[in-house]
Amino acid sequence: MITCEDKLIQSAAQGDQEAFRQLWEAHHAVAMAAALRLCHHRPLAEDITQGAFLLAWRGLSSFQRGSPFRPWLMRILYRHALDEMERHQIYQQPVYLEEVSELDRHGSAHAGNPLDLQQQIAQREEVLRALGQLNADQRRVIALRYGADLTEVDIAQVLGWPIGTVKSRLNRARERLRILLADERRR
Amino acid sequence: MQERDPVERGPGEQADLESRLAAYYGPELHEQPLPESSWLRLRTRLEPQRISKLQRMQQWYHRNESRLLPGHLRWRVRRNVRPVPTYIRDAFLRLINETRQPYPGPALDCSFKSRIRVPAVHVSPLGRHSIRLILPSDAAWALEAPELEVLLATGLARRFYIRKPANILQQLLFVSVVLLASLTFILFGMHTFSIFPFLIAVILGVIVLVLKQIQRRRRIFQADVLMVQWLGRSRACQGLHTLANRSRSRSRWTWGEPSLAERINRVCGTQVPIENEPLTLVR
Repeated sequence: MITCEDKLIQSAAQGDQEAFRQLWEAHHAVAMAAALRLCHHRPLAEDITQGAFLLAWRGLSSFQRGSPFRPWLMRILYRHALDEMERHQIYQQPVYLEEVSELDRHGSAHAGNPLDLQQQIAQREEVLRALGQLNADQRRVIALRYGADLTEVDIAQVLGWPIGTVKSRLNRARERLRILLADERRR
Repeated sequence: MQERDPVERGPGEQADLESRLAAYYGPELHEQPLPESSWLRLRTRLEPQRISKLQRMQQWYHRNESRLLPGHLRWRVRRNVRPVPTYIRDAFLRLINETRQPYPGPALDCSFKSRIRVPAVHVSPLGRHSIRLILPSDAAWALEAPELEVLLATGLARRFYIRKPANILQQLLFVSVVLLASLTFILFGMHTFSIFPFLIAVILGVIVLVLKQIQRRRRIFQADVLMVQWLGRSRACQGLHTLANRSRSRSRWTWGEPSLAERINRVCGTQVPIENEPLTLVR
């Protein structure tokens, strides 16, 4: 049985689906967790994970031998997730109860300050509305910074932008969000 | 872009924004394993990799190796036993676990044949490696979950019946009767120079063979009942139909092996007693 990841990648690149299945087994759960954290919607996260693996399968021939598989896969996943989230216009959709309970199940940031469900939904809707008013590039950079905890250097790698562009877009996005959220609060 | 308000951009405001975004996205999640069906769905979308001309030539050579090699090497190639693919092994282990097979459980072998269209399972009464899946070489990675489960459960169920002491005794009895009778008649015939003892020996052999096949068919249908108990009727039925769809003629039968149409009729119809259908054990 093949165990070395390089060999698996090599076999998968030659069309061996069994080798690719072993790569899926090793990495899909982490990929799914990352996708779920970004979009908060389980069926969409599953689609994103599958789509990312499909893209990885197609791109295996260009995979640089000897480099680790997971960072490469995660770059694909983040790019694909951002595209899919824009395509599904998730920022224009209401917050679902399922989404909040999903976060609660994994120990949401509200743990120290227990809020009732209504308040949580209201707060999430405020942020979602504000994100919906940003432009797509600003949303991407915010999602990667806060939804994937990537550094500016990593964001630059994922999106293929110069680091300066990432910094400036991130700053502008934060600025805009601050204003939008303050406006929301005044209402 | 709106004008910046210096009062609103203090460190408190910044921290508030950070905390609200952090709350919105939530903490890093634990691993989220997906069900087997997710991989199966992805697998159906995996198109063949673009391969080089050299790799294509190698694949062609492996496919046609049996025709290219000289006769004395063909047996090894035709047998073509390869390691069991992981997804088949996983499904088999899951099934063994769920059907609570006694330790040590049976082991599974896989062989790939280019000339068959419908995957089949072969069970031998002896040895631990007594269940062998025979798969078409081009469809080794394209088995649907229900048909795979049906094949594996069929193998396990047939093995269960084939290794029952009563069945083994019956087989031994058949063989002994045929051997003894044939030997007696042949010796008697040689002594009297008559054709009749030979004829009786042949007829007796044929009768025993027919009885043996009838018994084998009965055992296969019993095994199907057990398979339905393990998988649930709808799953078993779905798997059998998927297998039948691969076949050009689903009503084709071989010696001692009923056709898929006949098995479908029994499993999906009403001929399997309903009291033998407990909860579904396998997804």
